[in-house]
Amino acid sequence: MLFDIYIPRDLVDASEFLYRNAPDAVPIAGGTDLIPMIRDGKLRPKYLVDLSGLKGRLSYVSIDSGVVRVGALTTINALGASALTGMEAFLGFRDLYKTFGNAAVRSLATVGGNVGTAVSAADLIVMFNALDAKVGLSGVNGSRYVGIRELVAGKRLLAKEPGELITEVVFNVPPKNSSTAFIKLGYREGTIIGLTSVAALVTVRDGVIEDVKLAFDRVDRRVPGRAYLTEKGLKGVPLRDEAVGEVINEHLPREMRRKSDYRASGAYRLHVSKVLARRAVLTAGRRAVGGGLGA
Amino acid sequence: MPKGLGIREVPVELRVNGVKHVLRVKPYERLLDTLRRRLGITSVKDGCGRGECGACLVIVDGELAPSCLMLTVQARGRDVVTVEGISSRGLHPIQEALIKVNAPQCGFCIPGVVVAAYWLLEVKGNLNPSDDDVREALSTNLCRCGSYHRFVEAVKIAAEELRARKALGVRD
Repeated sequence: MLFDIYIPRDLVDASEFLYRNAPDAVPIAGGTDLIPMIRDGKLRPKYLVDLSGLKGRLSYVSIDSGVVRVGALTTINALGASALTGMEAFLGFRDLYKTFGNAAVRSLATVGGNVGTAVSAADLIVMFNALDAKVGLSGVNGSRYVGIRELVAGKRLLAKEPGELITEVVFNVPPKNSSTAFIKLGYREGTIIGLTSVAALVTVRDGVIEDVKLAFDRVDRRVPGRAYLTEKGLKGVPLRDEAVGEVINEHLPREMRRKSDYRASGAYRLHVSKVLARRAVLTAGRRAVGGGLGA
Repeated sequence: MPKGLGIREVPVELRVNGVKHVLRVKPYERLLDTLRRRLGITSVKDGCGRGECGACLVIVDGELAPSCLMLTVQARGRDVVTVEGISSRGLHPIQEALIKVNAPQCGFCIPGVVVAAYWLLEVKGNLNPSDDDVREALSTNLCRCGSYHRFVEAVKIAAEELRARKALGVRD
């Protein structure tokens, strides 16, 4: 583990250094993913650009006029303690918080860092997918916003320009009678790469699913994605166990391609995806109509 | 990149257990190594090196942190607490309770457990933790001797002791 470190004065300075030294310079926030990567020899950067000094500016959770903005350097702990997790519509973030790493990792790991990993095991990418989040980027040519699915272009691959840094994640507060749920299955409750994870955003009207967004750690690519076919099939379906399960069992296998690896077989992952999707949709739906966290 | 990569040292100022240190460290030096090798603070253990086992836990500015994942440079200007600080005036009630329930067997994970428990009781100020609160706070700590139930028992005993002291107005 050999590298030099650059401590930027501000965001612009950080971007300029990263731009000048691309691809040899890599930004470090919490380091909970990056340091093990470097230790394992999977990444050999010449320079790390330490973003920890920019935390004052980039650590926030604001909810204003129906829009949520989460600063990139907000730690998972800070996100878990924010007003966001107290909102009925965002109870899914509470689910996510509970199984994200462990108590110590959550105090270092950041929202922008999790998005920046661009891996299927990044729980926040799955959740942000369900929320159709946009990611703010800032670079030497100014700043812009890009959809989360566009940004996470492939495994460990972000569709961004050299020097661009993730500054925030932005998404809308969903309409009334909506809520979220997140479920991750692994061999234990924390500090795991999940075998399967799912996030659902459900809007309910008169006991029927009016709208649904269903995101998985993987659908047909090696990064988190959405199950659009299944979403379409679920619209108008009554919020009942059998009805929801039936639609998922019918549609999900048509769009999901699961790979086998040493953790689990593709067939098992598909099976689990169906079960977890049903639970997530029902949980989010029940929360949407005032069922609370345990719904 | 100039030759002699890594030879450059970075000036860093940090507080450890209330004592200010002015150091020059390698850019890639982990807080864990600075504590152990430069400052002789050996309660922090080098376990997994990837934030999964909790043997290297410290408290940085009131937050639980694995010192194996934090670069010393990132701890600049910050306040670090280890078991040496927690027990600077004799054994802390958490340590006494761990001894009382015979929690330590091989002992390697214990400093991390003390730090996590201290964080829950004294930093977060939860002096009446439920079993789940304790398990959550200690979720980083792996113990290969399997003393988990004893940890929960010990932390609750320590919490009771701290509550009693608080009620009596005793300080430390």
